[in-house]
Amino acid sequence: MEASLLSFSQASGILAFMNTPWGWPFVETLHFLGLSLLIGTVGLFDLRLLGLAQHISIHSLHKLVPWGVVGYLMNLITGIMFVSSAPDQYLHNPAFISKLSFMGVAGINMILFYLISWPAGTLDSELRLRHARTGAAVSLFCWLGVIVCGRLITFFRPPWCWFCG
Amino acid sequence: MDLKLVLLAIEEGFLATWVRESDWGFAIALSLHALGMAFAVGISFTIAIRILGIVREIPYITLLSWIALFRLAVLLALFSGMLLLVCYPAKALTNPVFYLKLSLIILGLLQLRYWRSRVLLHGSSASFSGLLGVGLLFCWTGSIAAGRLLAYTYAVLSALQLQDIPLAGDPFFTKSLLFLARGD
Repeated sequence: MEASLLSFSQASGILAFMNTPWGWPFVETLHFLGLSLLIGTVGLFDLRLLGLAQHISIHSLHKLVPWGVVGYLMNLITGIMFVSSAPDQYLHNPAFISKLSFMGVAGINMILFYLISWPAGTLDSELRLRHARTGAAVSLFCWLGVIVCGRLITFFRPPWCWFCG
Repeated sequence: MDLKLVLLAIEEGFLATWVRESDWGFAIALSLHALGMAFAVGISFTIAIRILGIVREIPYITLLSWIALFRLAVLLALFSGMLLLVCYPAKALTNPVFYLKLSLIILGLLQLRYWRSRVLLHGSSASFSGLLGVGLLFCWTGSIAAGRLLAYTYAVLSALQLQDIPLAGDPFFTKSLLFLARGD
């Protein structure tokens, strides 16, 4: 796994770019900007569903969600650049694994939101609103988890080992 | 006043020592800083996106509802930023990039203050130049970039190292601060 990630990084030129003096800080900046965009759109949408800022229509706030997707894609691309450039620092790192888990739950939660709560693009019943609120709480919790675990990755880099006792 | 002694006193104080040397103190401060900045920058981006004419369905007046959350996020980032600063005061205060970050944040806050006052005055009929939206994006993007660069551009980590730094080739601000710190 590590070897194939590294060879992908080498073949695509990512490794060479990341090893320039500006590579890591530039990509880290893009990564955090993507996360901020996600929090400023999807995070605010979640908070609105949970009852904050009730003057704002849920539908108009939902129009910001595509910008959250842009943020997510920025994070995905920059995240792949990090992991493929130094896979040994990430693949066995519990903070990174937790971050990926939070992202996975957030992804499943989003699919469920669009299937169960928002299939017609509206929250037309009390039951759907309740489901949407639960989904919003899960989504917000997951994205906060992604931020915290992302920040903790640096504390659990090798040689830190969680099964060495 | 010997600035180096002041920085050393801060660095070796109880709070800084506890945050730096406890198992979770520094990690918690970093995480809170990331959370505060993500919400502050995220809300600023949303306002900038609206000013730039995207998602016109959201009236400005309703976006004011997020200002309380924005303030909370800024306070969280400020509080956790202070914790990070006291842990390694010389590292940040001798780095010009730190002052760039602060300047961009202050400029971003002033722009939002202007936006808020205009919306309070004119309600949803308030209109803004796209320049304000671009300015907001620039300042908050710049503050994030400067924040990331802090980890790569510092000249000293501890105030103990201040006297060991050769002045030749250092940025002007670092030179000035080191001059003060040395008490020459």
